[in-house]
Amino acid sequence: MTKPSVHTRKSNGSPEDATFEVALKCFSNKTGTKSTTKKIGPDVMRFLVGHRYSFFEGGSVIEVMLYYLPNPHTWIVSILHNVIGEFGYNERNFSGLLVQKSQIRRFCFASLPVDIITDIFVRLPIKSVLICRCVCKYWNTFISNPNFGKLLFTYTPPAIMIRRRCYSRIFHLVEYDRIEWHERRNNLFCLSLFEVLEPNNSSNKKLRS
Amino acid sequence: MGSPLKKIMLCSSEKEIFSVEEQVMVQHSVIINNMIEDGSYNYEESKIPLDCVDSKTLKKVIDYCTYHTHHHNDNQEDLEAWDAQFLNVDSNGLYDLLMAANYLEIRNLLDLIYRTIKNMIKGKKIDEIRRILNIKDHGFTPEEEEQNRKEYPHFY
Repeated sequence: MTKPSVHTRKSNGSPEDATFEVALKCFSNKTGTKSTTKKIGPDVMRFLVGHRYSFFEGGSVIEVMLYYLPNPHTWIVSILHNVIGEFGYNERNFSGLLVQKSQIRRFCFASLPVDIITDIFVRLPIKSVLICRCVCKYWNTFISNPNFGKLLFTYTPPAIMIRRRCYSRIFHLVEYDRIEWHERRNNLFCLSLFEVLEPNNSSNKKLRS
Repeated sequence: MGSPLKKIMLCSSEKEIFSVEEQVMVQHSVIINNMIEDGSYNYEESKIPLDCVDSKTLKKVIDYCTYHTHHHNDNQEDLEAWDAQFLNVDSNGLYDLLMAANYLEIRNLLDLIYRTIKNMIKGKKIDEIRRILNIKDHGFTPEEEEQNRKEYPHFY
Protein backbone atom coordinates (compact mmCIF):
# COMPACT_ATOMS: atom_id res chain seq x y z
CA MET A 1 0.00 0.00 0.00
CA THR A 2 1.16 3.50 -0.75
CA LYS A 3 1.74 6.23 1.75
CA PRO A 4 -1.02 8.79 1.95
CA SER A 5 -0.59 12.07 0.21
CA VAL A 6 -1.86 13.78 3.31
CA HIS A 7 1.58 14.78 4.47
CA THR A 8 2.47 16.96 1.54
CA ARG A 9 -0.82 18.61 0.79
CA LYS A 10 -2.19 19.45 4.13
CA SER A 11 -1.97 23.00 5.34
CA ASN A 12 -3.93 23.16 8.56
CA GLY A 13 -3.63 20.75 11.48
CA SER A 14 -1.23 17.88 11.70
CA PRO A 15 -1.07 14.95 9.29
CA GLU A 16 -2.29 12.50 11.89
CA ASP A 17 -5.46 14.49 12.43
CA ALA A 18 -6.34 14.31 8.79
CA THR A 19 -5.72 10.62 8.79
CA PHE A 20 -8.25 9.98 11.48
CA GLU A 21 -10.94 12.20 10.10
CA VAL A 22 -10.74 10.94 6.57
CA ALA A 23 -10.44 7.35 7.66
CA LEU A 24 -13.57 7.78 9.71
CA LYS A 25 -15.33 8.96 6.61
CA CYS A 26 -14.44 5.70 4.92
CA PHE A 27 -16.55 3.97 7.53
CA SER A 28 -19.33 6.48 7.73
CA ASN A 29 -21.84 4.49 5.71
CA LYS A 30 -22.51 0.92 4.84
CA THR A 31 -21.19 1.10 1.28
CA GLY A 32 -18.09 2.84 2.47
CA THR A 33 -17.55 0.21 5.10
CA LYS A 34 -18.04 -2.59 2.62
CA SER A 35 -15.64 -1.22 0.08
CA THR A 36 -13.13 -0.43 2.78
CA THR A 37 -13.39 -3.99 3.96
CA LYS A 38 -12.87 -5.19 0.41
CA LYS A 39 -9.82 -3.02 -0.04
CA ILE A 40 -8.00 -3.79 3.13
CA GLY A 41 -9.21 -7.37 3.31
CA PRO A 42 -11.55 -8.94 5.85
CA ASP A 43 -8.75 -10.23 8.01
CA VAL A 44 -7.17 -6.87 8.55
CA MET A 45 -10.60 -5.42 9.05
CA ARG A 46 -11.45 -7.98 11.65
CA PHE A 47 -8.20 -7.28 13.36
CA LEU A 48 -8.78 -3.58 13.15
CA VAL A 49 -12.27 -3.44 14.54
CA GLY A 50 -12.34 -6.53 16.66
CA HIS A 51 -8.95 -6.59 18.28
CA ARG A 52 -10.43 -7.70 21.57
CA TYR A 53 -14.12 -7.51 20.94
CA SER A 54 -16.42 -9.14 18.47
CA PHE A 55 -16.51 -8.08 14.89
CA PHE A 56 -19.54 -6.04 14.03
CA GLU A 57 -20.57 -7.59 10.76
CA GLY A 58 -21.77 -4.93 8.33
CA GLY A 59 -23.73 -2.91 10.82
CA SER A 60 -21.95 -0.60 13.12
CA VAL A 61 -18.34 -0.53 12.21
CA ILE A 62 -18.43 3.19 12.69
CA GLU A 63 -19.23 2.67 16.33
CA VAL A 64 -16.26 0.44 16.76
CA MET A 65 -14.08 2.98 15.06
CA LEU A 66 -15.33 5.64 17.43
CA TYR A 67 -14.73 3.26 20.25
CA TYR A 68 -11.10 3.13 19.37
CA LEU A 69 -10.70 6.72 18.31
CA PRO A 70 -10.16 8.27 21.70
CA ASN A 71 -7.62 5.66 22.54
CA PRO A 72 -5.78 4.79 19.36
CA HIS A 73 -2.98 2.35 19.36
CA THR A 74 -0.11 2.84 17.01
CA TRP A 75 -1.12 -0.13 14.92
CA ILE A 76 -4.51 1.38 14.30
CA VAL A 77 -2.84 4.57 13.21
CA SER A 78 -0.65 2.67 10.78
CA ILE A 79 -3.57 0.71 9.36
CA LEU A 80 -5.57 3.88 8.99
CA HIS A 81 -2.62 5.41 7.17
CA ASN A 82 -2.84 2.56 4.74
CA VAL A 83 -6.58 2.95 4.40
CA ILE A 84 -6.07 6.57 3.46
CA GLY A 85 -3.37 5.53 1.06
CA GLU A 86 -5.84 3.29 -0.72
CA PHE A 87 -8.63 5.79 -0.83
CA GLY A 88 -6.67 8.89 -1.52
CA TYR A 89 -7.12 12.10 0.34
CA ASN A 90 -9.81 14.63 -0.31
CA GLU A 91 -9.17 18.15 0.90
CA ARG A 92 -12.85 19.04 0.78
CA ASN A 93 -13.92 16.18 2.99
CA PHE A 94 -11.33 17.14 5.41
CA SER A 95 -11.76 20.88 5.81
CA GLY A 96 -15.19 20.64 7.46
CA LEU A 97 -14.29 18.55 10.44
CA LEU A 98 -10.95 18.73 12.08
CA VAL A 99 -10.08 16.25 14.72
CA GLN A 100 -7.67 18.08 16.89
CA LYS A 101 -4.68 16.27 18.10
CA SER A 102 -5.64 17.14 21.66
CA GLN A 103 -8.77 15.08 21.21
CA ILE A 104 -6.76 11.96 20.59
CA ARG A 105 -6.20 11.15 24.19
CA ARG A 106 -4.25 8.22 25.38
CA PHE A 107 -4.37 6.17 28.51
CA CYS A 108 -6.47 8.16 30.86
CA PHE A 109 -9.91 8.05 32.36
CA ALA A 110 -11.18 10.41 29.71
CA SER A 111 -10.73 7.69 27.10
CA LEU A 112 -12.09 4.56 28.68
CA PRO A 113 -13.61 1.94 26.41
CA VAL A 114 -17.37 2.10 26.09
CA ASP A 115 -18.16 -1.04 28.06
CA ILE A 116 -16.17 0.10 31.06
CA ILE A 117 -17.48 3.62 31.05
CA THR A 118 -21.05 2.27 30.85
CA ASP A 119 -20.44 0.07 33.84
CA ILE A 120 -19.17 3.02 35.82
CA PHE A 121 -21.89 5.49 34.90
CA VAL A 122 -24.82 3.17 35.52
CA ARG A 123 -23.67 2.92 39.11
CA LEU A 124 -23.64 6.65 39.67
CA PRO A 125 -26.56 8.71 40.93
CA ILE A 126 -28.24 10.76 38.21
CA LYS A 127 -26.84 13.99 39.54
CA SER A 128 -23.28 12.73 39.25
CA VAL A 129 -23.93 11.52 35.73
CA LEU A 130 -25.14 14.99 34.81
CA ILE A 131 -22.02 16.48 36.35
CA CYS A 132 -19.83 14.00 34.47
CA ARG A 133 -21.29 15.35 31.27
CA CYS A 134 -19.20 18.46 31.70
CA VAL A 135 -16.04 16.70 32.83
CA CYS A 136 -14.78 15.92 29.37
CA LYS A 137 -16.02 15.92 25.84
CA TYR A 138 -15.83 12.19 25.34
CA TRP A 139 -17.99 11.57 28.38
CA ASN A 140 -20.36 14.27 27.21
CA THR A 141 -20.80 12.60 23.82
CA PHE A 142 -21.26 9.28 25.51
CA ILE A 143 -23.78 10.37 28.13
CA SER A 144 -25.74 12.47 25.65
CA ASN A 145 -26.34 9.40 23.53
CA PRO A 146 -30.04 8.49 23.90
CA ASN A 147 -29.17 4.81 24.08
CA PHE A 148 -27.19 5.45 27.21
CA GLY A 149 -30.16 7.30 28.65
CA LYS A 150 -32.36 4.29 28.05
CA LEU A 151 -29.82 1.96 29.55
CA LEU A 152 -29.43 4.18 32.59
CA PHE A 153 -33.16 4.07 33.23
CA THR A 154 -33.21 0.29 33.18
CA TYR A 155 -30.63 0.32 35.96
CA THR A 156 -32.12 3.11 37.98
CA PRO A 157 -34.65 2.08 40.61
CA PRO A 158 -38.05 3.74 40.29
CA ALA A 159 -38.05 7.14 41.91
CA ILE A 160 -40.64 9.66 42.92
CA MET A 161 -40.98 13.07 41.38
CA ILE A 162 -42.89 15.71 43.22
CA ARG A 163 -43.91 19.26 42.50
CA ARG A 164 -45.07 21.75 45.04
CA ARG A 165 -48.12 22.98 43.16
CA CYS A 166 -50.02 21.24 40.44
CA TYR A 167 -49.14 23.90 37.89
CA SER A 168 -45.56 24.24 38.99
CA ARG A 169 -43.01 23.54 36.32
CA ILE A 170 -40.35 22.64 38.84
CA PHE A 171 -40.08 18.97 39.57
CA HIS A 172 -38.12 17.55 42.45
CA LEU A 173 -36.69 14.13 42.10
CA VAL A 174 -36.48 12.00 45.18
CA GLU A 175 -33.62 9.82 44.19
CA TYR A 176 -32.54 6.98 46.34
CA ASP A 177 -29.20 5.44 46.05
CA ARG A 178 -29.87 1.90 47.16
CA ILE A 179 -27.41 2.19 50.00
CA GLU A 180 -27.48 5.81 50.95
CA TRP A 181 -31.06 6.63 50.18
CA HIS A 182 -31.63 8.01 53.64
CA GLU A 183 -28.86 10.54 53.12
CA ARG A 184 -30.23 11.95 49.92
CA ARG A 185 -33.76 12.94 50.53
CA ASN A 186 -34.18 15.86 48.23
CA ASN A 187 -32.15 15.50 45.14
CA LEU A 188 -33.62 17.41 42.29
CA PHE A 189 -33.74 16.44 38.74
CA CYS A 190 -35.61 17.22 35.58
CA LEU A 191 -37.77 14.94 33.50
CA SER A 192 -35.97 15.17 30.20
CA LEU A 193 -32.63 13.91 31.30
CA PHE A 194 -30.42 15.21 28.56
CA GLU A 195 -32.12 18.47 27.82
CA VAL A 196 -30.65 21.77 28.85
CA LEU A 197 -31.01 22.29 32.55
CA GLU A 198 -31.66 25.68 34.02
CA PRO A 199 -30.90 25.78 37.68
CA ASN A 200 -32.79 28.16 39.93
CA ASN A 201 -30.32 27.77 42.71
CA SER A 202 -27.55 25.40 43.52
CA SER A 203 -29.71 22.30 43.47
CA ASN A 204 -32.97 23.09 41.71
CA LYS A 205 -33.47 22.35 38.06
CA LYS A 206 -36.29 23.58 35.95
CA LEU A 207 -38.32 21.14 33.95
CA ARG A 208 -38.28 21.64 30.24
CA SER A 209 -40.62 19.45 28.32
CA MET B 1 -10.23 -26.88 36.92
CA GLY B 2 -6.66 -28.09 37.06
CA SER B 3 -4.83 -29.35 40.08
CA PRO B 4 -3.83 -26.63 42.53
CA LEU B 5 -0.14 -27.42 42.26
CA LYS B 6 0.17 -26.72 38.58
CA LYS B 7 1.79 -23.46 37.62
CA ILE B 8 1.12 -21.30 34.63
CA MET B 9 3.31 -18.63 33.10
CA LEU B 10 2.09 -15.12 32.43
CA CYS B 11 4.17 -12.79 30.32
CA SER B 12 3.84 -9.03 30.83
CA SER B 13 4.28 -6.36 28.18
CA GLU B 14 7.91 -5.98 29.29
CA LYS B 15 8.34 -9.71 28.58
CA GLU B 16 8.81 -10.40 32.26
CA ILE B 17 7.51 -13.84 33.18
CA PHE B 18 5.37 -14.49 36.23
CA SER B 19 4.72 -17.97 37.46
CA VAL B 20 1.37 -18.35 39.20
CA GLU B 21 -0.59 -21.22 40.63
CA GLU B 22 -3.05 -22.25 37.99
CA GLN B 23 -5.87 -22.48 40.50
CA VAL B 24 -5.44 -18.84 41.44
CA MET B 25 -5.83 -17.44 37.95
CA VAL B 26 -8.41 -19.96 36.74
CA GLN B 27 -10.66 -19.10 39.62
CA HIS B 28 -10.60 -15.37 38.95
CA SER B 29 -9.89 -14.76 35.31
CA VAL B 30 -12.52 -15.84 32.82
CA ILE B 31 -10.05 -15.54 29.94
CA ILE B 32 -7.44 -17.78 31.53
CA ASN B 33 -10.09 -20.22 32.67
CA ASN B 34 -11.30 -20.55 29.08
CA MET B 35 -7.77 -20.91 27.83
CA ILE B 36 -7.01 -23.75 30.22
CA GLU B 37 -10.34 -25.42 29.65
CA ASP B 38 -10.15 -25.54 25.90
CA GLY B 39 -6.69 -27.03 26.19
CA SER B 40 -4.84 -24.34 24.27
CA TYR B 41 -2.36 -23.95 27.11
CA ASN B 42 0.64 -26.22 27.09
CA TYR B 43 2.12 -26.59 30.56
CA GLU B 44 5.57 -27.44 29.27
CA GLU B 45 6.20 -24.49 27.03
CA SER B 46 3.28 -22.05 26.83
CA LYS B 47 3.43 -18.57 28.21
CA ILE B 48 0.29 -16.49 28.22
CA PRO B 49 1.25 -13.20 26.62
CA LEU B 50 -0.46 -10.19 28.17
CA ASP B 51 0.77 -7.45 25.90
CA CYS B 52 -1.39 -4.73 27.31
CA VAL B 53 -0.51 -5.34 30.96
CA ASP B 54 2.77 -4.06 32.33
CA SER B 55 4.78 -5.89 34.98
CA LYS B 56 3.85 -3.62 37.84
CA THR B 57 0.14 -3.99 37.16
CA LEU B 58 0.35 -7.70 36.49
CA LYS B 59 2.09 -8.20 39.80
CA LYS B 60 -0.71 -6.38 41.56
CA VAL B 61 -3.36 -8.37 39.74
CA ILE B 62 -1.65 -11.60 40.72
CA ASP B 63 -1.39 -10.38 44.32
CA TYR B 64 -5.09 -9.71 44.30
CA CYS B 65 -6.03 -13.09 42.87
CA THR B 66 -3.67 -14.93 45.20
CA TYR B 67 -4.91 -13.15 48.28
CA HIS B 68 -8.54 -13.67 47.42
CA THR B 69 -8.01 -17.32 46.64
CA HIS B 70 -6.29 -18.04 49.93
CA HIS B 71 -8.30 -15.72 52.14
CA HIS B 72 -11.81 -16.09 50.79
CA ASN B 73 -12.92 -17.49 54.14
CA ASP B 74 -11.73 -14.44 56.07
CA ASN B 75 -14.37 -12.18 57.47
CA GLN B 76 -15.75 -9.49 55.22
CA GLU B 77 -14.21 -6.59 57.11
CA ASP B 78 -10.69 -7.90 56.80
CA LEU B 79 -11.14 -8.48 53.09
CA GLU B 80 -12.53 -5.01 52.59
CA ALA B 81 -9.66 -3.47 54.52
CA TRP B 82 -7.22 -5.40 52.38
CA ASP B 83 -9.01 -4.31 49.20
CA ALA B 84 -8.93 -0.68 50.28
CA GLN B 85 -5.21 -0.95 50.96
CA PHE B 86 -4.75 -2.73 47.63
CA LEU B 87 -6.44 0.03 45.66
CA ASN B 88 -4.53 2.79 47.41
CA VAL B 89 -2.86 3.80 44.13
CA ASP B 90 -2.78 6.93 42.03
CA SER B 91 -5.22 7.43 39.19
CA ASN B 92 -2.82 6.11 36.56
CA GLY B 93 -2.26 2.96 38.57
CA LEU B 94 -5.99 2.57 38.98
CA TYR B 95 -6.48 3.01 35.26
CA ASP B 96 -3.87 0.36 34.48
CA LEU B 97 -5.49 -2.02 36.94
CA LEU B 98 -8.89 -1.37 35.45
CA MET B 99 -7.66 -2.13 31.94
CA ALA B 100 -5.87 -5.25 33.13
CA ALA B 101 -8.89 -6.53 35.05
CA ASN B 102 -11.04 -5.84 32.03
CA TYR B 103 -8.64 -7.63 29.71
CA LEU B 104 -8.35 -10.67 31.95
CA GLU B 105 -12.03 -10.48 32.88
CA ILE B 106 -11.51 -10.64 36.61
CA ARG B 107 -15.04 -9.95 37.72
CA ASN B 108 -14.55 -9.21 41.43
CA LEU B 109 -11.58 -6.97 40.79
CA LEU B 110 -13.56 -5.07 38.17
CA ASP B 111 -16.45 -4.64 40.58
CA LEU B 112 -14.08 -3.45 43.24
CA ILE B 113 -12.53 -0.89 40.91
CA TYR B 114 -15.93 0.26 39.67
CA ARG B 115 -17.05 0.80 43.24
CA THR B 116 -13.89 2.74 43.97
CA ILE B 117 -14.29 4.95 40.92
CA LYS B 118 -17.93 5.48 41.73
CA ASN B 119 -16.99 6.70 45.18
CA MET B 120 -14.33 8.93 43.67
CA ILE B 121 -16.86 10.59 41.38
CA LYS B 122 -19.98 10.65 43.50
CA GLY B 123 -20.86 13.94 45.07
CA LYS B 124 -17.86 15.66 43.52
CA LYS B 125 -17.77 18.79 41.44
CA ILE B 126 -16.35 18.84 37.93
CA ASP B 127 -13.00 20.36 38.84
CA GLU B 128 -12.55 17.83 41.62
CA ILE B 129 -13.35 14.91 39.32
CA ARG B 130 -10.87 16.16 36.77
CA ARG B 131 -8.21 16.48 39.43
CA ILE B 132 -8.91 13.10 41.03
CA LEU B 133 -9.01 11.17 37.78
CA ASN B 134 -6.14 13.19 36.37
CA ILE B 135 -8.10 14.37 33.34
CA LYS B 136 -5.94 17.20 32.08
CA ASP B 137 -7.30 17.42 28.60
CA HIS B 138 -11.06 17.55 28.63
CA GLY B 139 -11.45 18.12 24.89
CA PHE B 140 -13.92 20.99 25.13
CA THR B 141 -13.13 24.09 23.17
CA PRO B 142 -12.63 27.20 25.32
CA GLU B 143 -16.04 28.47 24.12
CA GLU B 144 -17.82 25.27 25.09
CA GLU B 145 -16.09 25.25 28.45
CA GLU B 146 -17.10 28.86 29.00
CA GLN B 147 -20.67 28.04 28.03
CA ASN B 148 -20.79 25.08 30.42
CA ARG B 149 -19.41 27.13 33.26
CA LYS B 150 -22.01 29.79 32.64
CA GLU B 151 -24.82 27.29 32.40
CA TYR B 152 -23.98 25.09 35.35
CA PRO B 153 -21.91 27.25 37.71
CA HIS B 154 -22.80 25.06 40.68
CA PHE B 155 -21.26 22.01 39.02
CA TYR B 156 -17.78 23.50 39.11
